[in-house]
Amino acid sequence: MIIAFTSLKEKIRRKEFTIVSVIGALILLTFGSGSGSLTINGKAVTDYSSLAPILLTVVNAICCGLSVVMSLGTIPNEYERRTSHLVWIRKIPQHRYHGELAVANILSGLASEAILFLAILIFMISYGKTGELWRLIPAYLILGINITIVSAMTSAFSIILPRPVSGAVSAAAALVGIFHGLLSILKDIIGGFAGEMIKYFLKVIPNLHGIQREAGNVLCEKPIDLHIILTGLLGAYVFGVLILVFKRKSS
Amino acid sequence: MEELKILECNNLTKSYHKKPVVNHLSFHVNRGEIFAFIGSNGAGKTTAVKMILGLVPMDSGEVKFAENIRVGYSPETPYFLPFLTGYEALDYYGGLQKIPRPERRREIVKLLDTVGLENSRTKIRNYSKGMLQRLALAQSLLGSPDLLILDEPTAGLDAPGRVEIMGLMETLKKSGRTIMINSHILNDLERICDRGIIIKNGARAGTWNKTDLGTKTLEEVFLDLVGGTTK
Repeated sequence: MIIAFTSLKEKIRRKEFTIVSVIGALILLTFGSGSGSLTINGKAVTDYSSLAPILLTVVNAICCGLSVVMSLGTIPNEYERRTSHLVWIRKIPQHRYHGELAVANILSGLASEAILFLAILIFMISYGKTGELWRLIPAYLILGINITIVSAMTSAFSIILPRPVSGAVSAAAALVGIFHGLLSILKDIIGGFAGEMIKYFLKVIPNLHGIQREAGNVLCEKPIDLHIILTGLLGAYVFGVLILVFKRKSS
Repeated sequence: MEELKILECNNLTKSYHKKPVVNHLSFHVNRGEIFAFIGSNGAGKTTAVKMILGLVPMDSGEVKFAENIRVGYSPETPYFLPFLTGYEALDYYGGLQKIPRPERRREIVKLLDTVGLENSRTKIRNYSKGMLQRLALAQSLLGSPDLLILDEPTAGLDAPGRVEIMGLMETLKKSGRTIMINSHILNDLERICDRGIIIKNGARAGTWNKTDLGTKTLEEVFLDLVGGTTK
């Protein structure tokens, strides 16, 4: 795993995690104060069971966005700065090289998620939920499926597509995944060609919203739907295989 | 493949957009020698080297290495991960070669000293061209390769640096290494190489052997075969 750890080292030295920490602090300022800074229909939302899923939605959206940004350049950079030549001559196969770089992307995404989960931890403590803190671990792992899917997907696309295209495709797919629930309602309302298109996208793009909802259910002591989690894991597996299958021509 | 030969290339051919870059090139490198791969800029030397190493797919031809040999390669323009120090870069490549960590550490410290680089905290992004060349040479020496393929190893080095690196080549030769140097700096090659081939437009224009030179310098041989002026 030396390629993955070296790539992680680069992300740490580029201070990517510092940026994530700043974002985490901002989230904490918004939600952790508990002083009604969030309002829906003019009413202040202050109770834990309403705020926790919203907080998780924000963390999920930010983590997915960060995963796209952090995964987008890792593999193309290696080819653009031609550091790959000295790897190839050491008989490292392309699938291992891409695989390890994608692992670095996933790990950095999960590390970002962990940093942002600190905001949720402080939020829970501020609401006196110290006895429920253990729930953060399964919630983290479930939400981690989303991060893994988005990182793996972006890594896979970045192997075969030019950077702006892979960025646009990955961001669009992540958005569809995050708004899966909303789009499901929309497809029934719209109908026609647009409705059919939405239906198609919802079929092929993993339900990131559903997974995040399950993570929220864990936090709020509600039952979880295992089927959605398993489907998410299958999605992560498929993108993982694509990383190993996709090839890139070396210059 | 004869036991004396460490590398044998037969009929290497490569074209880009139907224009031949390497044209039915055949040669071999013997164990223990410093072999010169000579040609002007754009003659197809680097492409041929990359074909030998499998970095560029060949249209046709065959590359045969002697069994169980380790090959080290120093590229013409060395690119390293810019956020690492020289030590860390060597540690990375040594790790890829699966050199055990304690042995790797010892070897890296020794190699940095050998190529004249300090084991400092300076990041590679702040290295000069000469320092990058030295680091490229150091990484090619990791794991004590039997055959070293060096693409323009003195490019970017000042005169004392070039003399130093050429001296290092001679030391490596004495230790039993085989070296193939791709260069257009004829004075350097003439000083340290035993034998070589001269290529023009990707094809073999002739051979050169230090013992057969007579009164002619390598530069004169080169000009006879290739024409034009040398740099």
